[in-house]
Amino acid sequence: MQYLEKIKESNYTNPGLAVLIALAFVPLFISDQYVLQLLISAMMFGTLAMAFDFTVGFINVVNFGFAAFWGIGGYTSALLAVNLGVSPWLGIFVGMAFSAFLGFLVGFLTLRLHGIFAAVMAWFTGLGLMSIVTNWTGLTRGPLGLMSPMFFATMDRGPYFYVILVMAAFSLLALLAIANSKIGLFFRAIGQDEDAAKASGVNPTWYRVLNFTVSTGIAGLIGGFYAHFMGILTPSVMQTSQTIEIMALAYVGGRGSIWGSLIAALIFIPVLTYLQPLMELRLIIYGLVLIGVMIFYPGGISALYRRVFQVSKSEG
Amino acid sequence: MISGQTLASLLVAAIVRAGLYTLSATGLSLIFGVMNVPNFAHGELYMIGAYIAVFTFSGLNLPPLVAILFAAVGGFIIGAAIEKSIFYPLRKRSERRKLWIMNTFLVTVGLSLLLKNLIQVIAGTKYRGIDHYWQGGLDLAGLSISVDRVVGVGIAIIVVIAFWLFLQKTTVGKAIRATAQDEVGAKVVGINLDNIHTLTFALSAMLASIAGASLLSLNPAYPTMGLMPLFSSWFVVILVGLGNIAAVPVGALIISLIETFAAYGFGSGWQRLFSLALIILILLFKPRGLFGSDVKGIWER
Amino acid sequence: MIGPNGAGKTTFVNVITGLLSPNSGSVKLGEHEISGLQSFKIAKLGMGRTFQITRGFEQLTVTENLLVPALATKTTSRSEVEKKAEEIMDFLLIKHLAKELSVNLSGGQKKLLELGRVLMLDPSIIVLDEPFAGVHPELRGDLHDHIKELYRAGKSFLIISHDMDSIFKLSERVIVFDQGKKLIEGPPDEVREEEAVLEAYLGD
Repeated sequence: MQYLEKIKESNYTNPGLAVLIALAFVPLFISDQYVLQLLISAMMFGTLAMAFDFTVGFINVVNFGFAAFWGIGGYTSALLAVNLGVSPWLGIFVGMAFSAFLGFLVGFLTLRLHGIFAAVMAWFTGLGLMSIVTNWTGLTRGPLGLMSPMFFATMDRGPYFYVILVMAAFSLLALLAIANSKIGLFFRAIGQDEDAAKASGVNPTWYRVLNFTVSTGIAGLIGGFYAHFMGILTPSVMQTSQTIEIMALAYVGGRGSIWGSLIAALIFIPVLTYLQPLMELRLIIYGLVLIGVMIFYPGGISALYRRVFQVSKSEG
Repeated sequence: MISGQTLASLLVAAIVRAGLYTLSATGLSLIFGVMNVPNFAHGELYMIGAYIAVFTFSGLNLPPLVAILFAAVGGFIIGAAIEKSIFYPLRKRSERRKLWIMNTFLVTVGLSLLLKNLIQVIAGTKYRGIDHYWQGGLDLAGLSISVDRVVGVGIAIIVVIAFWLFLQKTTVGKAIRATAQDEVGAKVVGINLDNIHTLTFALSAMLASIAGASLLSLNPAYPTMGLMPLFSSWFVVILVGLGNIAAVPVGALIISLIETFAAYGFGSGWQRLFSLALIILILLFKPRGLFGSDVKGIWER
Repeated sequence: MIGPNGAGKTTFVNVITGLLSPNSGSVKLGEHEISGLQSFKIAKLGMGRTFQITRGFEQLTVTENLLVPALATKTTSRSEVEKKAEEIMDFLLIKHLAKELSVNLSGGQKKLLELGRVLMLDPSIIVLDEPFAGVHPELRGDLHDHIKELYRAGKSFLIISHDMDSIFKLSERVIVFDQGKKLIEGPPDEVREEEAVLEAYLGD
């Protein structure tokens, strides 16, 4: 049975996990801080894109306010550290929980909506959250930026590399475990035909809200990492353009695969950052890639992989 | 209490704002109504108008109305080119119409990135503004308003009315409305859908472009200037219902009243939160907007 | 149940299966009061339905399509659920399509799959909305046989159709519906004689 095979095999043969394991050895051979920084950035965006894909690729809702949850996780953890002296190692989980809680609420807000209306609702709630963070300057210092304590005293990127690697691996495994369970099957059923799912006894309310909670929780966790990795937060992390970058990675990676997003980030972020001096060129490439994928190859990297390696059609 | 004087000036400010919101939101609503494309690149069309106007007015030293006319024509041509090069092939390739709305939305996201950054390559990131098109101010009920604002609103009102008459009275306008109501029916009576779609996108780009051009003295041209008009257009269109062109002025007035008074009462910056809160509430109870219309094939609700 | 276009048949189905809630009156399934319950709860209580325009999970395989209702409503082990899916595919003669994505199926095969999903619910009553519309005559015969066999196995059916032949052939009781109201109800032979039926279809 295909369904069983998927559970048994996909977690171990997953290209995303293989790449992460290979990455674990990189700092042993490369100590170039710039390269490590690039890989950290790639894993960070890759994990965000996986969490984004968990919603768009399964329940078929574009969470266009996604970046706001990333920011909320970061701000929560940073504010706890700055004002109450909470350790970043604890704060990131509080940030994760708070972001998941807000995602839970937004899941309810978008419940009756589909397609563009759900996307717009998520977008507008994201803009609302960003607006609060921007204007509540007494708490967040707004656009001036909030200084946030670092995880480590050292300037060495190595330790950060392993922190984000663990987070990425944890997220990949957790998301895949859910995606390959019966919950993932229900997600996809709801995403493809909500009325038919209801007629089959699936409760769409519960699964849609659950999906939002998990996805935004991971966004919040990565936000916490970002806060204590960069040392400064501004409301611009919550901008729509950040959501767009994450979304582009998820689409290029291939919707519904989870791991495709990670691979897309590991390819695109280093290449595009290398073109950083030509900042506008980088974004033009994103724009062209997004249009190109939508018009010509909607399956993205994961579909390409399946075609090359002849993995069965519905897997992954 | 707000004094009568302040109240009057706030109201005037709100009406000015509403006129401009109407101009940019009409195009957005039109594209959705006719083509079912939720355009995320609408702000970039506004930006293009501003750049064309600044080039014509400051670069070529031509009169203000010519600058705005150039922006209109330029916006129209660029809009037509975009439709022919992106949406036309996409429409021919789309077998599953069910996915059309979300797919085109994402394509317009890519288009927005592309246009913004192309302009940056061409013109740099510098703010390119003008002091004013016309000198001086007007005295209106004891308030002094710059001529630019008055003319800007005047243009907005004239263009919106002219556009409205075009849709109601001319054969082509009727063909556009027929396509919005029933694409298959329109095809059956011999309307060339490809042409209508191109024309619609071009007209929508033209409206946004005129808005960007007439507001140049208030908002200088720069690559990311499209974000604010994008937000306000989307707020208006979602508030009254996607694709419902007739209700756009009402929505524009509601949003601008809220924003003007919220900015006055709570300090500028917070106004957006108020319009967002209202729209979220309305989406929650009336997912199709205040006056949600049954536009053709909103395939996904 | 038969009735002319616009008689309110599909609305009726949507009300009893919980997709719409009734403005007045009540719906009972056995002992349970189910009016106003959400459709997924009604499905769990044992009422399965198909849709007038075939619905389904297009990017899932046939097997996965069948697993959804069973996993959502039953607490039995997964291997049992899978065994049952195989039995149902055998019964409906779609075993060879098990690994096919349902988007690739023909119209008639999609109808069978939809019936299969309903059967996976182990329902006590099965509501079929226009099961014969647009189905190849040959497949229509198969569908008749499936329904008869299931009926003999103790399932109740409510079939909504335009297809008078099929209805009169299969039904024990026929309800004629027009303008949102029940016009007449009785055994097929009696209903066939009623002039009111003809009027509903042919009348002014």
